[in-house]
Amino acid sequence: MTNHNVYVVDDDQAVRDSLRWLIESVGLHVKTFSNGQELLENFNESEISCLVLDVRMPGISGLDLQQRLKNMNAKIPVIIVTGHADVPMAIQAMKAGAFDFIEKPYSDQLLLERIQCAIEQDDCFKQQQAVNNEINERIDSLTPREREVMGLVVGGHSNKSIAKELGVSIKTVEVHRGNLMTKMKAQSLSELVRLVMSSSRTTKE
Amino acid sequence: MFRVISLLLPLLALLPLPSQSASNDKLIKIGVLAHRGHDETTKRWSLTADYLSDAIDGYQFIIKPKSLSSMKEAVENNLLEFILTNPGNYVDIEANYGATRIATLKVKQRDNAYTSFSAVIFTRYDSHDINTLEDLRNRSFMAVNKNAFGGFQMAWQELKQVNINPFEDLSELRFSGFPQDNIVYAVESGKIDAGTVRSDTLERMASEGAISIKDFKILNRKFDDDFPLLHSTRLYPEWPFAKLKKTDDHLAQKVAIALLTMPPDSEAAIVSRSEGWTIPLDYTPVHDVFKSLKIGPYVEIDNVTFEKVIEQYSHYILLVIITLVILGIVIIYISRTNHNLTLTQTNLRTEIESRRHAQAELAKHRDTLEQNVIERTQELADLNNELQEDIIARKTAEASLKKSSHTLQTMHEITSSRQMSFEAKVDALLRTGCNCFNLEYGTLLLLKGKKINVVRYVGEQEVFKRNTWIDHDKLFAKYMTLDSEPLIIQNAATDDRFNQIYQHTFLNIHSYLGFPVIVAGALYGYLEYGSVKTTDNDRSLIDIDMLQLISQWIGGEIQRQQSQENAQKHQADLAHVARLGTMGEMASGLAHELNQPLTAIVNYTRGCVRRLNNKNTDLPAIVEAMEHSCSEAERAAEIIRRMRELVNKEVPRREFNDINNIIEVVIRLVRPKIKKSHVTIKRELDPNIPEVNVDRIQIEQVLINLLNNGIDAMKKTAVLDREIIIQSRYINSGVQVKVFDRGSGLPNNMKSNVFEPFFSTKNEGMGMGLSISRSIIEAHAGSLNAEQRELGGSIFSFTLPLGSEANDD
Repeated sequence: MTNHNVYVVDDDQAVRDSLRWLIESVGLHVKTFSNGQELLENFNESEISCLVLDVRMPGISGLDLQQRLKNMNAKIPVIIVTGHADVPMAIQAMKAGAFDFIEKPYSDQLLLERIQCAIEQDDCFKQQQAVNNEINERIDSLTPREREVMGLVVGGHSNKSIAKELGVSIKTVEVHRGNLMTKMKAQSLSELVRLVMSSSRTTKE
Repeated sequence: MFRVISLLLPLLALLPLPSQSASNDKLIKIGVLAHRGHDETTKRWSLTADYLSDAIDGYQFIIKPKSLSSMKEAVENNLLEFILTNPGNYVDIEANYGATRIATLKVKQRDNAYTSFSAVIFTRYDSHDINTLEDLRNRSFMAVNKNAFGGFQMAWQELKQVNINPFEDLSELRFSGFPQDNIVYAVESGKIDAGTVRSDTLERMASEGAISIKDFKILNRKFDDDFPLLHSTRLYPEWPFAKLKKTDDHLAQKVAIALLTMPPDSEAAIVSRSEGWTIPLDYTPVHDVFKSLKIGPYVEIDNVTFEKVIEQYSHYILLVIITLVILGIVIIYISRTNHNLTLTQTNLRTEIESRRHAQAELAKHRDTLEQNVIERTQELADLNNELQEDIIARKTAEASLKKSSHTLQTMHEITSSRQMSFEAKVDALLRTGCNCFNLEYGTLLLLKGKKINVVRYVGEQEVFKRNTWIDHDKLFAKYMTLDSEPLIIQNAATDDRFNQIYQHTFLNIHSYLGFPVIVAGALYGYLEYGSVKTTDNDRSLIDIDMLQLISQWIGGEIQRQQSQENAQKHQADLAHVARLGTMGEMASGLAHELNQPLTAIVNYTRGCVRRLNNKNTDLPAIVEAMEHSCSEAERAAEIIRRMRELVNKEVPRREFNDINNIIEVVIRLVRPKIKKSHVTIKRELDPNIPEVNVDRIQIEQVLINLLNNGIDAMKKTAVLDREIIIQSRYINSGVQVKVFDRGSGLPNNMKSNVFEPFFSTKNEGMGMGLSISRSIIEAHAGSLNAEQRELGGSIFSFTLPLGSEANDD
């Protein structure tokens, strides 16, 4: 937990400093920025777990910053904080993929909970991403023939029909199959299918 | 007169003569009829004159060619001694001037000499219907000259014999003039029916070959043995040589002898185309012709009675006429004078009569007049008395006028005073009224329903107490209405209407003057003066008018004051409305502004609580956080206070304030909006600016307004260009604040409108901001201006005088 960094962007120094004071009370690391530009210049997705943004800021507004991060394919959970919320703004923020939308003045409990949740989601996401990366690496290590055979195996084809499909002997199919199971570190056919499905889902996203 | 002329003329004629005479011989002038021109005549007869000069010693004869008229004139004036002329002319002169013929010319006509001559009347030989003289009636006829004897008058005589008047009975009578040959040619060519010429003309022309005798027919042809030439008339003697009446008979005799003895072959005879002279012939036939034709000397025979008498006796007649005229004039004059005398006499009589009358009348009138004078004197005396009374009255009036004028002046001074308050003015006016009109008290009463409030009171005795309420019914004033005349009571005790009224019975007011006070067309109350004494002197109309004027002025003043109060209230209301509007516009921004410190406070305190719960003992950090929290709470409180000040409808308060401080405060207030709109604020504030005496809240409001307007105007401006400059400067007249924006600027056609209420270019604005702002600045004796910025955008500026006195309080 102690490794998690929460980034705060607010133009009001008092709010900025008080947020740091509050968030640090639950043992999180806090980095503050007075505007969006400053944040973008020091942006490193891997070390950020949660971003708290004030909507109304000079220069780049909170929503603009959210949009820019999305365009950069950054997947950090963003909590939008606003002094006077209106429905259109909330909808816009949520559609743009904000993790949450909190209205000032908020209870410390709520804010910290939401930050906690965001961090968990981020952890989860980051773990998932690590798994996916692993599977993708394994798939990458397959030869084209092995990848071909794997596709047909996952598609439910028997060795015989695969041999027929590819115009090779069943024996050859069995050799390919044994190799790719080893490379994919799959103990069983069902595990192989789960790995490929999870990979393809991730890739699709 | 005529005599004088007739005497003078010959003298004048004689003047040149001596120079002409070659010798000492006496000059004898022979007048010769020059019917063929003067030169011809001189040539023909000068040798004859020389012949005579030679023949007669001691005389020199000269030829004077004359026309018929000049001959007569010369003869009449005795310029000639002899004449040589045609028979007609001779007969004329003989008859009129007594000439006597002494010889007759023997005219040579182609080898023959004739002492007589005639005339021939002829036509063309082929004029078959002209055979006799009678046939000439209504024919054209030609002769040489009206006065030519042989050339016309002889023929005329013949025509007369056959009862033809050539001047009336011919179709045409034409005179050709010399030479007579023209007549012959005219007849020959048929241009004229007939003509007459002297005898021998035709024969001469025929001998010259000009005509042929055969071509002509001779009318009325006569035959005489001694006269072989063609002729149509009787014979008449040839030209005579005649002496004039005054010519010496001896000379005449010598001349006659010389002429008769002139040889026919002498040079003189030849040149004169004659064969000398013969004894004078009988010229009676010529006379007969003239008598018959009533020409020449016989021209007047017919009308002898008048013309002749006039001619012959003209002098006498003239004399008689003049005498008669003079006599006539004298007679007329005398008779007129006589008549006038008679008239004058009559007039005199009438006048004498009328004078007598007049005298009688005068006597009568004199008596009447005496009576009238007595009466008039009496009247004048009366009038004088009246006048004297009048003068006294006038003096009184003058005095009262003076008094009125003085009063008016006093009133004017009071009403136009700038130092006095309204109440002081009313009191002064009431006092003036009392003093001038000798009344004890004056009061201004306000009517409210059925009660009367004593607004102002002036007087030694306290009849009324100021600010007390009295029943309307108890006062004399109840008799006055909105448009009633002033109420004047001399003595309430003697008037049934008033002697039961409380004001009389209890307050003991006897004498009273009341005026309704009208404010905005309604009865506001009364202005009244009163006295416990009875005043017996009448108040003049001017006095009444004066007091009425005071009541009117008070009415007007109250009305003005009321409307001013209304206007101020209205202005305050407006300002309040605008403030609310501004608040509304800023509410969301202020909410955010307020949220900021609140959020910070919550964060700090919660952070502290969590740390303390976790037994965290980093006390300095916690204290610092709590400090932060406190200052944020203060910040929030400040915002709230500002807001409340803005919303509150406070009575304006003027204090000395630093304008830069006001600007800072305003920028802080507007900050949320500035941020929201991404506007940069740039300050150009003069640090050495003196303080100004202003109502802080109001000036803040103006600045908020200007900043808001500037921000709103830049909605369409590029974000990087959104800048507002706030400038403060110390200028001569005070402090100037300028707000520059980069917005859309002022709409050109609306520059003058921007300060009008409800003018707005904004959709959400109320259009009150600038109007209120201007009212506020002007209430501070400053000015608010708007101008277009050269780079685009606009500049709003206001100035505040340093020692700004309150204009409205």
